Amino acid sequence: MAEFIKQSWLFPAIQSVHIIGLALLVGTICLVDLRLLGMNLRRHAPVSLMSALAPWTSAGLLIVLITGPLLFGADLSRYVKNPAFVVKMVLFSAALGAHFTLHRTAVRDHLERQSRRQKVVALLSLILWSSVVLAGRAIADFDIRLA
Amino acid sequence: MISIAELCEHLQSAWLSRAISESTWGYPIVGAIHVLAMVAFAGAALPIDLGNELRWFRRLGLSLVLSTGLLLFASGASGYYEKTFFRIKMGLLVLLALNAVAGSRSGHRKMHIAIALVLWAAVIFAARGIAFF
Repeated sequence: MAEFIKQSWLFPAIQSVHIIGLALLVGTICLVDLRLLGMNLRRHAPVSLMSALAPWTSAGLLIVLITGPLLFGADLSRYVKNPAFVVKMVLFSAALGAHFTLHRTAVRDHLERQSRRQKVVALLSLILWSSVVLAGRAIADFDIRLA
Repeated sequence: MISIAELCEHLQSAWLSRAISESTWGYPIVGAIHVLAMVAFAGAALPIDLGNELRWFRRLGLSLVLSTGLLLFASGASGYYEKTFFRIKMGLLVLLALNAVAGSRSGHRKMHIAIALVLWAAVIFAARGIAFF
């Protein structure tokens, strides 16, 4: 099965779904981060923005958690040797961990103005999630380098 | 009359195109910005009910996607022009533009948004196709 996915059009097709999932997940989280930084949507409370976006965020997370392991399983030996992949997994774990702890608490703080703590968390979240996307993109670049 | 293929040759040999294609980090960096901007644009385009407040952010994302896309194309114009999936992707972008124009004039806003989402998903598939085939 793994060999079949790797050799066929299924691989780029699953990758496409993976990228769409990552765009939903990261795109919506970044929007909440920008709100916490006070850069957009000031008329909406961060928590109501987060719940309005939650279906997209959850769908994105579900998609990457299904397609990611499929891609990994289809080409194990390639990924374990790829430094960008290893970095991506470390960053993804950190970003996801921060999302369900620090980020969630920061968004739920009801305040008139955003506190410094909320801004620091938002910035951290922005950096972590952008780095996940960048590391993912870099996987292909590091294949060529190692070949 | 100059052909599109010749135009691609010219574009590819321009200094900026060569700066990207001949440097080690040029292509990966422009490619990285292209993808990050796409993600930012997706985030700003999805919550349609929040409407106009996000317009500047959507425009910023889209401008970055388009300008970095143009740079990536310029760095290897002839090669891209030959690829079937590149042509499909460009066709889909034309459809997206037409859909946006039609959507701004019609009452069926929801329908045009649904069409745009399907077309964007197809653009991602075509983009992966360029890398693979």
